[in-house]
Amino acid sequence: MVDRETLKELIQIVGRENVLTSEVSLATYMYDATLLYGKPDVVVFVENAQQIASILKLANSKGIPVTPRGAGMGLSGGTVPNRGGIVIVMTRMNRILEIDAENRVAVVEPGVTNMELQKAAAAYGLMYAPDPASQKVSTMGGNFGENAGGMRGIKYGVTKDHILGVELVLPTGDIVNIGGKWEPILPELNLLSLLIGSEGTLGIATKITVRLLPLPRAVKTLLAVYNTLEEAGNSVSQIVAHGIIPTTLELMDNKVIQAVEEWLHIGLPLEAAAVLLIEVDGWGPELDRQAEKIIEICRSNGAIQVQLARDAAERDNLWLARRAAIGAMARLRPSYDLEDATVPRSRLPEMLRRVEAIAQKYRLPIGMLAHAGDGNLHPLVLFDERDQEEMERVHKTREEIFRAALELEGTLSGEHGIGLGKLDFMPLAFTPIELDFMRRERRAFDPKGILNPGKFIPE
Amino acid sequence: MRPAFIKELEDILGPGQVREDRETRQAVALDPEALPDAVVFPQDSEQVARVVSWAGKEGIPLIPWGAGKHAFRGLLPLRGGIVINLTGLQKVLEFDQDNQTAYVEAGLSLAQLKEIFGAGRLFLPLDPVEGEACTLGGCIASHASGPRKLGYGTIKDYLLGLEVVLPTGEVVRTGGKTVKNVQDYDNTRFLAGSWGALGIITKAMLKLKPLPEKEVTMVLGFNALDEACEAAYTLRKEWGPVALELLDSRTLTALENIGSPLPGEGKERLVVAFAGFAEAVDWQVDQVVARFGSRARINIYTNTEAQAVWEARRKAFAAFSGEKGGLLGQVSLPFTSTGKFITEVDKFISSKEVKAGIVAHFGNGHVHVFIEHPPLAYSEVRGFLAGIEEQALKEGGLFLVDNVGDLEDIRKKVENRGSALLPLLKRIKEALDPKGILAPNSKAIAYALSPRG
Repeated sequence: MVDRETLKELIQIVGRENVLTSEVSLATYMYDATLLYGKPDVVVFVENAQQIASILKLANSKGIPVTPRGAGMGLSGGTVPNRGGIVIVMTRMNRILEIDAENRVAVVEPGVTNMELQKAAAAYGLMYAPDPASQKVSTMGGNFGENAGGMRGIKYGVTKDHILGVELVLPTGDIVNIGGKWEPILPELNLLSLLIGSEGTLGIATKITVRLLPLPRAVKTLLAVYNTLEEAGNSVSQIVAHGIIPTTLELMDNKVIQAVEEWLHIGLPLEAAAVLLIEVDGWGPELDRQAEKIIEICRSNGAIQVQLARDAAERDNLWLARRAAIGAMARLRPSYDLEDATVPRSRLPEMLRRVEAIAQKYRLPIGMLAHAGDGNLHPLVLFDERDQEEMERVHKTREEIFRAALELEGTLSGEHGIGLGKLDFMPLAFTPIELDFMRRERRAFDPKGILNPGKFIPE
Repeated sequence: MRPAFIKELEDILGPGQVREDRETRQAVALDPEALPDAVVFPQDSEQVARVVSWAGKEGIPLIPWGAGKHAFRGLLPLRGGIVINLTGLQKVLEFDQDNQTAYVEAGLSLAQLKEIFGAGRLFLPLDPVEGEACTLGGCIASHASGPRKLGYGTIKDYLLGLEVVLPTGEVVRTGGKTVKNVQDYDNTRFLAGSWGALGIITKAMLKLKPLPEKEVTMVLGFNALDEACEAAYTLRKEWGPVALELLDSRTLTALENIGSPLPGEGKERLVVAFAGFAEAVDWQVDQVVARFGSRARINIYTNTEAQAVWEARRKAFAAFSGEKGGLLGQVSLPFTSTGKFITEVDKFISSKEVKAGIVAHFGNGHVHVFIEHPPLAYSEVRGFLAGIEEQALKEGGLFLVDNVGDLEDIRKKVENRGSALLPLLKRIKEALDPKGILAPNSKAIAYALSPRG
């Protein structure tokens, strides 16, 4: 698909050393953090918006598929070059251009990792609120494209709540600026919202302006242990119903607890059905009463043990289990699939029950992690990819999990995106009219359909 | 309007729901010389969809309308066409207290929603200065916010999903019921601020917040504007108020003149609100008193007294627009330049014969300059406006007069961000509204559609 002439032009745009075509190089850019893959024709490293504009103009004129790519940490196949063509690697655009502490604004290039931004902001007593679990490696461009979530979603929202503006290259190769650092006062269509979470189908972000928030003055962290998942789920609903919006409400089930304890030996009760990691933050004077209320609610809902961290070291210790959860589970089988079906908070206990039943039906180990405050469930399905028969059960499991989420007024994806991985399930969530509506929007941005074709919105 | 058209609309909506009388048409006109041909009153989204399909077939412009409170800011006067009044869409489909969400129709007013949600100790934190008569649909279409946007954001931050009648008459749902949801393009927020140009919002799934345990309003009075600005700067930096407004002495006088004085004392005033858990609010208030008690006259208000403060604040524009009308100047700035801009503009106003006042959402770097002058004759004060714009640019900001139809000015400012934006906006409008019938007078898009010039 990418002919000699095109390669020559790409080399002219970015230089020979930044155009990769060897089999080994192409293979390196075939996949993301899912099991999906697709081989590109050429991989290109870019350093600025102008180069991207030139590449997109070229691709647009020749109808070549383009897949933008950050760290490749995606969980839905969004950066898998399933139609070949050009992969644009963004990781060299990795400068933090500005931290304007007094105005609480930062401007970054898309290749900056979430963690690098966190560290730079923390030096000024500030934070960038979205904190996806992949934050050590995942890039801000990827976070922007996927509307990444994280652990603090219930109180601080997700990526879209913290992006103020973007410099973007349209699929037609034009550079535009949308939004900006200050209050939007022009009567304009809110293109920024449409772009965040558009999975690289409407444009390529080349500069991202984000809002920073002051680090909270005070934090309290608790860990509650339960004999049943139900009791943990009920505690979550009741804490929020009492007007307390915690920063974090993380749930782990018995399978996860066992995997973590076996690996790290940190004293988790092996027989517990669930633990809840709860954190509240704020000004300080109000937190003691909130923590007391949370302890009371957890106990009255059946918690057999509630620990309150007394200092930073204890806090880190309580967090350890959660941070290690996915790694601990991944040790158990050759492969895992991490879903992110999300339901309204009060339906979470029902969703947990349904996933347990699905796991039994298809005889697959499923560990359950949840950003419980958001109703955002992460079932971790463990399997061996080489076992054909088992893979069939994995596919059926996924489909039933999605169907269950939709039945409970939830969504196919809370934070990982549709990409390729969930494309087939889109007709379950949307009517043909709704899909057509989104297709028309996409065509308005990308008349020739070159940017991430065949993903997100079924063709 | 042709009798056959009226008949067809009555077949869709029932008799009495299609009005042609002058009074009804005048009530929704933005210019007494430019009236719509008819006003229609659908009662549910199905009727809305049928009216839109019909208008598409006949090629007749349709202008969605709520309480009409925001309209003067985002819509241009338009002669002819049909105004589709959505206040008949009044159903609460679901109020889910456990999940702190509600699915409601767009014609409900903020006052109605406040009562319904308040019964469950929840609220929609939206306080447009246009008041609680605003409809939900109008607030979404205009991307409304008010003084509390500092702490709570705007309407778009409380939208989880929408039901929208597309310009083609098709009905779609966007988003869903969960905060985390990435299964579609974020059309929910995209439609916020579209001023009716891309679809008619008929229902919204709202995310609600628990009512704060305690809320306190403080009015801090200062002798000089720069002292007030400096205090405002510290207030945002140190103690996180949910609202931080500045009203200059001219505005305070204008409010007195219309019989709505702002409670409190002092020549130049800050109105500050804290909300949250009682211990935190008490601490915040104590901190402010300790820091500014010796320099400012401080009055502290709660409940109905606090409401009276905000009621007066909401009348600030009316205090300048009066009988003849007023110009609503808007400036957005870096927060750190806001004080400098305000003191410079204050000097500038002093040097001119124009009657104007400054009111700022200080914490957001968003300053209003209200000018007593009829909007239709705004070219008479071009020189004055240019002076303010110059000052805004000098401080790295942007200036716009909200309630005049200067499309060329908007077009220029949008084009500055990339010349490809205008064709893109046009393609989007054409993709969603191929017949161009929906709110062709929406300022959010009109500058990209009309021929240059």
